[in-house]
Amino acid sequence: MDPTTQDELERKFQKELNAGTVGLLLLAVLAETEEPRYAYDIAKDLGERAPITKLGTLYPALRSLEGLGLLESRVEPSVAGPPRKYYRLTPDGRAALAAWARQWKQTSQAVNTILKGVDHV
Amino acid sequence: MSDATIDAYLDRLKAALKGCDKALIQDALWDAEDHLRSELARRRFQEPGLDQAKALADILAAFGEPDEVAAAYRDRDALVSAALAPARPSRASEEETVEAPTPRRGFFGIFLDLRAYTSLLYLLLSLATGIFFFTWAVTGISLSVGLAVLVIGIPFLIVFLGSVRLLALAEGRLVEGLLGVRMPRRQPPAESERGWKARLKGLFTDGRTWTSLTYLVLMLPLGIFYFTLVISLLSISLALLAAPVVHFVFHEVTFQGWVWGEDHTGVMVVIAGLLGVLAVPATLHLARLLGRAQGHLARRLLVRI
Repeated sequence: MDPTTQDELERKFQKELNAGTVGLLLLAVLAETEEPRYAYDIAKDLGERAPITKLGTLYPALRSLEGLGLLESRVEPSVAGPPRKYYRLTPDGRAALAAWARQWKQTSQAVNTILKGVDHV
Repeated sequence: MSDATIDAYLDRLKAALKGCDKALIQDALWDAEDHLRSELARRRFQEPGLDQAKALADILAAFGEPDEVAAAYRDRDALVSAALAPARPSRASEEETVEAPTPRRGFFGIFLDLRAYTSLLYLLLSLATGIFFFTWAVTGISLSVGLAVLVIGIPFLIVFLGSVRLLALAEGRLVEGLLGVRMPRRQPPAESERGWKARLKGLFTDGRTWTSLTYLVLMLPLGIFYFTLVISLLSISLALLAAPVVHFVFHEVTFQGWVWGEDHTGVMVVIAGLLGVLAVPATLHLARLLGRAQGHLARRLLVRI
């Protein structure tokens, strides 16, 4: 196959994977510290520890999680620079995280089980 | 140099978001600018002799192409609207409201429309906010002009214009909460990276500062108008509605309906009651309509890109 199409397909697959996992990652990162965190801080952290997604797409994902009531936010002035928006989990967000994490484990186990058969690829 | 690159990126992002809701575009540009500048500042702090152009290229690559980021905003926004309003068809003309368009319910269906009651509340509140905004704006303008000849004049003007931005933001929250018209959730980016000079210049050259100030002044006459209209209509329609109750249940005299020398009070009271039944929902419809108009005005003057 043409290498550019291959690249294109790879990118598309990664994008589709991210569409589902980014929300889970964001909820998990916020559950980790229990402290409210601001958007750039979360993006930087995920960029370093889980570099699977373009950081620009994390911001709309945070917005949508807030829109769904899974996160709540507060704008606070910062010492240097513009005010920052701090996010933290809502009880609904915590419940969603538990459910999504369970689903993720099932999914990844299932995928891994099948992939074992094609380890030689 | 880094400013030019970031600005060029933001321009491309803005172009990619074309056709989206204005407040969404403003939020997206804010997110992007904040991220790019914070990241550049962080790297510069960690490594003082940094090659800025190269670092910025890295940062932009990690952030994503404007098209990709814009697509994420579009998709995510559609996702939330869909989740919040599952069965309602979306119409392009209503794209700027937070909730999905309300289905047609007919004249009396307005009683079930929560937005009508919150609009009513907004209109009643607008007198109080209008008085406050007007007083604030007029005091600020006159003191700014009066103090202009003194050393303190310029700092005062700057603080005052800053407060106008904050009030505009607060009013935006109120408009979104009660009228359901989407407004920006945050202040436009303060260009902290560009230093205080550029920031100050922005405060004066940004048209939004001046349109917001106009809005604050306008809120007093509008508030008086809304409040008077709503209070009068509400009391008239409730009085009409109460007339039969007072007449038949409490046997109190409301008014006497003498027509051509005969006492038709009973009939007249019933007619008054029927008029009341129509007047209450009509008032709610009017509140909804005025709320929508006010929302448009707020978007015109408080959100400018």
